[in-house]
Amino acid sequence: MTTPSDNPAATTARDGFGQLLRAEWTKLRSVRSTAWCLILAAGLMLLISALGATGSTTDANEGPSRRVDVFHFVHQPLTGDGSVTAHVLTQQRTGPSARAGLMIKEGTEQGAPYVSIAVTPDRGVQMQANFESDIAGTASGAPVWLRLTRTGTSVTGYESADGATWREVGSVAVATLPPTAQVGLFVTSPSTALRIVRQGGNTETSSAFEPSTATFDSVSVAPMSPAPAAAWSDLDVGKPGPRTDGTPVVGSSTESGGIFTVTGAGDIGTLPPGGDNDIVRDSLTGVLIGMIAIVVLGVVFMTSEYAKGVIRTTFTVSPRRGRVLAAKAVVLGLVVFAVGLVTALAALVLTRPIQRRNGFEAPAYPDPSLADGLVLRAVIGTALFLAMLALFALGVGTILRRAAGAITLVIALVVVPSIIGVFLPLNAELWLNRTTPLAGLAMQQTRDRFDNAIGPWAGFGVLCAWAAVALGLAYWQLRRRDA
Amino acid sequence: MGMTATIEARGLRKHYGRTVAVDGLSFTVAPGQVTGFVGPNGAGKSTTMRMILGLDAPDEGTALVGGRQYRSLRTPLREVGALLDAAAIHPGRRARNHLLWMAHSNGLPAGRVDEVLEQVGLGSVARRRAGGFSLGMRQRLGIAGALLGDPPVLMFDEPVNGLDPEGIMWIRGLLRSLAAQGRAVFVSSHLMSELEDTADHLIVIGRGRLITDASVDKLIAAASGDRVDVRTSRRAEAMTVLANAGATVAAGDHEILTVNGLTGERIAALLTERGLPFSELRQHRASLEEAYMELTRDAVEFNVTSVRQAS
Repeated sequence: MTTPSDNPAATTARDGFGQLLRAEWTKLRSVRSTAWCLILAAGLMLLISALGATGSTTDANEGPSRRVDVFHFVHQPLTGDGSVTAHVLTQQRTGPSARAGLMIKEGTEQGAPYVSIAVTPDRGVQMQANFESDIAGTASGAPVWLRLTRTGTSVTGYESADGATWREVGSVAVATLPPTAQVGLFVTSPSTALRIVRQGGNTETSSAFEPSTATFDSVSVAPMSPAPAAAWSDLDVGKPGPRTDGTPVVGSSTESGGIFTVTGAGDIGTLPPGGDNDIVRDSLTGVLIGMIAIVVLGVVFMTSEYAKGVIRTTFTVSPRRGRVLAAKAVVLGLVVFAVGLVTALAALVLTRPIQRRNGFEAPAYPDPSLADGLVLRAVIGTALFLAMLALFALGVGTILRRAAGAITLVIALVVVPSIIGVFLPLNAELWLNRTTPLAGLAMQQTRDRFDNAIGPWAGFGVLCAWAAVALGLAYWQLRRRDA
Repeated sequence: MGMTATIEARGLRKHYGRTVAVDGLSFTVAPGQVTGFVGPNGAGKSTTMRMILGLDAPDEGTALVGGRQYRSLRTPLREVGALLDAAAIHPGRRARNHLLWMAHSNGLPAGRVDEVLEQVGLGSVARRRAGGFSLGMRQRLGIAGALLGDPPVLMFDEPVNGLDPEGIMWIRGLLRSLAAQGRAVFVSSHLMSELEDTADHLIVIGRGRLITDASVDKLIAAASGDRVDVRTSRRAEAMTVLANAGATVAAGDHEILTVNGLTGERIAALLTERGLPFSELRQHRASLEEAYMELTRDAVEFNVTSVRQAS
């Protein structure tokens, strides 16, 4: 039977890196500036996050419904039972859910009950009634034949590939449908882009619209009881939002030789409650200020040794300089990560009641849970960001050897972009947030937003690259420079 | 002490910009004695010590400690203890913590920290921040750091600087006792008098070059020459008499005359003949300071000559 070596001293002395870690940890914990920097960082993070939460409100949960009813309608009255039929020839693809089809609606005012059947570029034929029910057809996209047939208060939708063989999509009862309803063609196109207006650091976002144009032929309205042929009229129901450049969208329609060309934008239906605020990221926003203290800590961990010449003692007792730098990096990284993690969790817990008070509550904004991988990534990512930023600062501090210059340089690279970014055009801000060490903050993203510059791990990778280059240069300098 | 307690410099050369700080310096520091490293400020003493410790890379030559390059040492504190700059202490760190991180880095037990603090007389201020220390206390803290690993080789750069007379006495005793334990003790100073009664051996440099590498006894004997000291209450008359007899006479402290060119017997005869009272007729023993002046005067003269030749 063999026994393992019972000489623990032999294993610790073998390499000595553990001893170096202990030495650097002793250095770090034995000066007051460390505690001050960490307390300042945590305090600023919590304070700024709380202030941010206090100043941000939402009405995402207010109002009984968030109905939208905006489209271009080419219509005529239909009294009693009957049907309307059209052949959708073409549909411009402005987005996956642009719609071109038929509608029966109580009137032309916004919000009036209706039944519609329409074709979409990517989601096939859809039948919809009163902003709620959606019934999917089978046909894929234009060209397709569509028909709505009214029988009493019930409306049935049909689709057909050839106008001869019809397939029933579904049947919906609309209790309030009056004897005379408006029937006809409609086109709409939901927003797929944001209109962003920046002025003096203030960013406003709103939905932007691109109208879709569809062509129809073989349009017919067939009342069950004979009636005089009615004339078509058209209008925009509701007012579509502007394009991304701010110019207004106006729907239109023309008819020539039985072919109707209809253009419209907007959306019809009930939007799910919610906004696009990233409340987890908002809770952690204080890191933008708190990180300044972490930069100071990382820089000073090395430059304080140069200030009084302690570095000579360090390299006298540990002549292998690269290992000293590595030990410093490990100790600094672990300490900042631990403090960052606790602070990030505290910020989440602290800001949540403020957010709830300001309207960020379920159902639009349910409480974030650490069981949610994205939330967990944001919290751990915040700690990782701070730790890696500290290592970048350590590298710069080692290269420059003077605290003032190194802190100025790191802050110029990290903090300044975060401040001036909001005054720049969005593209310039996104570019800064992609390429500067600030990209590491992408780890805090839990939602897809227009101002997300880069993916979370890719952004962290950018920060890691900055830190790696700084530490690599620092290592090279340490080796060739006289101490 | 497994390794041989020596420091060897072989052809060390180092320049900073256009200034040559050390120019082909070779010497050996032997165990069991205090070796003084003397030269005026800017002579290259600190640069040499930094090269020995692997802090500065020499342009040419090598420095070995116990036969090995410093940078190859894995636990240097156990092999070489060094005090380069007493001010090199983080002012916010407590004295004990300053030594503790050093001890950790070489795997030395924390108990050693308390031992050396007591040894240098800082036990009572171990938990005070070093920023409030006087220069003398900082010197003691630096010396404590050098003693941490109980090393066979010790190097101190100007350790007497800033010490009060009591501190100077203490450090002289410490250096002597470290050497008596068989260690190699290498001490730099820009004042020869600081090493009086302390150093056994002297390495004197000027402008980065070796001037002398010799034992203190030999240096003093050489500087003393054949001169004779005589004490007389009537110095002026005695000087005239001796000078007329062909001697070179210099007035020293109090009633002392230092006479060159006459034997003790001849001096006694001449003074007795003229009825001049005298006492204490003895062989002159030069001070270390004198020996140093002698050496550096030669060096200066040499320089003056070379300048003349160049012009």
